[in-house]
Amino acid sequence: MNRPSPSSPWSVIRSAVARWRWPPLALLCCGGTLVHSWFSGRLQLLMAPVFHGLVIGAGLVLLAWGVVALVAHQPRRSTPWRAAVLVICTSLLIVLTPPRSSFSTLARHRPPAQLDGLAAGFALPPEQRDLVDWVRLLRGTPQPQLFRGEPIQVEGFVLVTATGERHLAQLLVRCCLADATPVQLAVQWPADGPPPEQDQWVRVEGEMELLDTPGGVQPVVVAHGVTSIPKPRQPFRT
Amino acid sequence: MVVNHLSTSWSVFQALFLEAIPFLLIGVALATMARHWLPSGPALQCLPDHPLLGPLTGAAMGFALPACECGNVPVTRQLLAAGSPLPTAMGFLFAAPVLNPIVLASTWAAFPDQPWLLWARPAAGLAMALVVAMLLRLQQDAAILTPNLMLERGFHQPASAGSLLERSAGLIGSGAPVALPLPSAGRGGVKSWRLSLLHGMDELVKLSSLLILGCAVAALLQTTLPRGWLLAVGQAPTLSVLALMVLAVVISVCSSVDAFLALGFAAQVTPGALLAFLILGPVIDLKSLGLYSTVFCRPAMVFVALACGVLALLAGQWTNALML
Repeated sequence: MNRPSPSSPWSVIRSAVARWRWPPLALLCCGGTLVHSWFSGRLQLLMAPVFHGLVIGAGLVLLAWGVVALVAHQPRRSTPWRAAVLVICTSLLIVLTPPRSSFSTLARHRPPAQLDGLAAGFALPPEQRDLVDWVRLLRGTPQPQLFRGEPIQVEGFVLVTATGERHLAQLLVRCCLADATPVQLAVQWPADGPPPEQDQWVRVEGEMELLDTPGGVQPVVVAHGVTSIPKPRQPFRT
Repeated sequence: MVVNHLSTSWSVFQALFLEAIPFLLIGVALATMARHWLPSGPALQCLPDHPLLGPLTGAAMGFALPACECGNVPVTRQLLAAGSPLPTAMGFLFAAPVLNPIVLASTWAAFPDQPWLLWARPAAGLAMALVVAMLLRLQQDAAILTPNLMLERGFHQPASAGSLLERSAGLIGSGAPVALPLPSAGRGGVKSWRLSLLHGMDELVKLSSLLILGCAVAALLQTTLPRGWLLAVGQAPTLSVLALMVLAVVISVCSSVDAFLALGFAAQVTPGALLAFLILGPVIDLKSLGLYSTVFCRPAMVFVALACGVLALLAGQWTNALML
């Protein structure tokens, strides 16, 4: 009863908007976004490589589907134009606003990553082990003192923990950022300068030590040199 | 700080959405092909309506669809729209995300040293699907399914299958549901294909919009709810199960990979909590609740969520009682 009369301006605008071919446009935008995410390298920031092919394939199928639907004669039907507009807006927003996640914020309250199944680096000389190799090694040994004094050179981002300490960390991702969990090492930063910023990517050179920390005696990287490095193209381990 | 949280939530949203869309597309594509090729109406009505055989048949059908929960909702909707008995469709909906080959393989890959989980997960998932499907069968279809779906379903049901009230739905009164035009299945030809594609497109767009809402809620909660709080109760038998159930609903990751995620905290929680996480997450999560709204009316959605939650809790408790 309260509906606007067929000739009211609102009704005219609404029916004109509804006549647009929103759903094919939505498919084209969504497909374009998927392909763009791969083309621009963003997928490497968001999910494990095993899913990239699936996303690209889906993007191409959506583009083809959208083109076919656009050229096909469309009879009058219950077109979900509001849903289509939401999909279009979201797709455009994804393209226009690249992901800029704070890995530190993401990982701060997450449990440490389980490292079973990852390639081991036990046989490597100390200076060639990466951060994940070191954490595996330290978790797997009952005598961490065996590694005291060994040289270490590892890369990662600066994770500010819930207690305010600055650790060096990498994320382990099985599927996408939603399941990312941190692999981290405590670091004693050089006293002759300010510690690096949260989320900054750095290379730390130093030696492994066992130090008395608020959390008890634990392996700590005593840093002699800290170098800022660019964020890797794929900034997490899978 | 707030900017950090928002930008991180936005990244998680993008990751969830971009990863879920291909699975949704697979589901809608299968539903579209089924709509075009499968004989609807009488043939699907031959599927068992039996309270036990129906869900078992649906679960067996689910084994053939290697998609997660995003993909099986459109297929279930198509089954129901084409006249499939409710128990079979429900068995498919609730068992397929756990019983498909990819999920079983990933569970085996993640937990090769815990053989009990390799049979407990599919067994508990199947049991959950059977019980929920049986409970839903006690209700009238019209009390469970959305009006639009009931109308589509009515096209393929014999007139005697619905009540007089159901048969008049959409013809009398205001706010009548609008049915999407159903192409004639199996007739072939360009026109039929075009109708199928357009119908599939509408379905995909609608489900994508619901997926967006689900991913947004899941991403916001992911970055604001510290997992440490949930995992802090790791060894408490009941609390750990409840905490992991909440985690499963919030995280909303694809059932194909959730076993790898569970691997990350398997050592910190009770076996029952681990099982509850692995059977509840594939069926109920924030991301998929929006998709369910295209199949179930709101009271039925609440009922399904509660029933699945209680069954996951029971499965977890029982496992803890046996293993702790």
